[in-house]
Amino acid sequence: MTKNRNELIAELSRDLMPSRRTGMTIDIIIYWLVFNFTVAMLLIWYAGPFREGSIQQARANPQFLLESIVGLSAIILLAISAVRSGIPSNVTSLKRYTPALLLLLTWLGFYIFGLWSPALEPSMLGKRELLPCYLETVIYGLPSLLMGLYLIGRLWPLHGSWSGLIIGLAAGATPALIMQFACMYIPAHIITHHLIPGLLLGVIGFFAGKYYLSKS
Amino acid sequence: MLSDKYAVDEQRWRHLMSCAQQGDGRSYESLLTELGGVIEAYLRLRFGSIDILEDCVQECLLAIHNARHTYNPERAFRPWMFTLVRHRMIDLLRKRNCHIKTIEATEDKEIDLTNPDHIHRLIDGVRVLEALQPDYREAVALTKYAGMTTLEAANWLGISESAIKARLRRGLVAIHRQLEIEEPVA
Repeated sequence: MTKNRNELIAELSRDLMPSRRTGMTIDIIIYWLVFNFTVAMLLIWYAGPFREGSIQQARANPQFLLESIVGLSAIILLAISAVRSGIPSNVTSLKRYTPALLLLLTWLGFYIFGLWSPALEPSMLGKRELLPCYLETVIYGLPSLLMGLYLIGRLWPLHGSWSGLIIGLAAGATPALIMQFACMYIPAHIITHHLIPGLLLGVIGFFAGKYYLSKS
Repeated sequence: MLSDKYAVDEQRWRHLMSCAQQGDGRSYESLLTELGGVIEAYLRLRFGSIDILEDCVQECLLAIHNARHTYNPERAFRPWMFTLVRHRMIDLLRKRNCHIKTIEATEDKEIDLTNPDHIHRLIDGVRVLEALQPDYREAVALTKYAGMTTLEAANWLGISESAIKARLRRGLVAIHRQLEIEEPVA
């Protein structure tokens, strides 16, 4: 930097264009969530039908409904914290991400609990035919991950890897949640074929964020 | 009195940035000019008269410029700005490998008390240490200044290694908190 400070300020202020305020992140969060769920649902629906009677099962079985609601809340909270991480503030990473991550773990906990006491009678009904469901989970989460990285990248994330990790988890958790209604309901299968592949997107997001998002 | 000035500055910066976001160059110019002084004082207090101070101030102003669209006028301005400044400073110090240079400089040369740069750094270091509890200060001084390992420092003080590690960790957390205080103390 060789310029005089006053010159720099004058240059920055000259012909200043109005900037689109993105400090209000709610619209970005809503936009991403709508995109995320629409893409994942359409792709899952296109690749194979939803499990017959899965919506009725959610109505009739409180445990199944509860784990779906917790999953949905975890995704929303992850999305909120990921997008907000693009706004510089003095909130620490721990404070910002802990509630969302705890909710995600709670969601996972439901299926671990389900190994002994499943919400629904385990059955092979809904087995995916076109692609193995673990591949579907990873592939269908990718567009949302890319969109999330793009949207957060337009902000000013200071810890790109964290932002990438969290948006990756949200992107991966979405097809995993929808698979609950599309694929067969067996808790062990859900953990190994839906949730773990979904979490893998978090790892992809971490590295993508590190190289693509970091303003540092 | 200080809190009044704090509130007035906060209000004015918030307003100026809000105008700047709408494309008002004049408001933006006065905001950046004012912030330049504030950032300089902030950095000088923490790093003394380092040779790259002016570069750092300008880099921070650039970061504020590039991130200005992320400021929400309904929120406080200071945390937003100082977060940017802190991160930019960390980047710059990393880039320039300042810490290695500082270590090399202190290893190779005696502190020259006729050099204002050295005096500033010395005062800053002493002030940070003075603010610590005695136990933590000992742990930090022995390991970070005297260059002892935690085992050597533990033997020196006659305590266990885990105890010195705990004191060191708490001491460093306390220093970190102290350095995070955003406003220069009047």
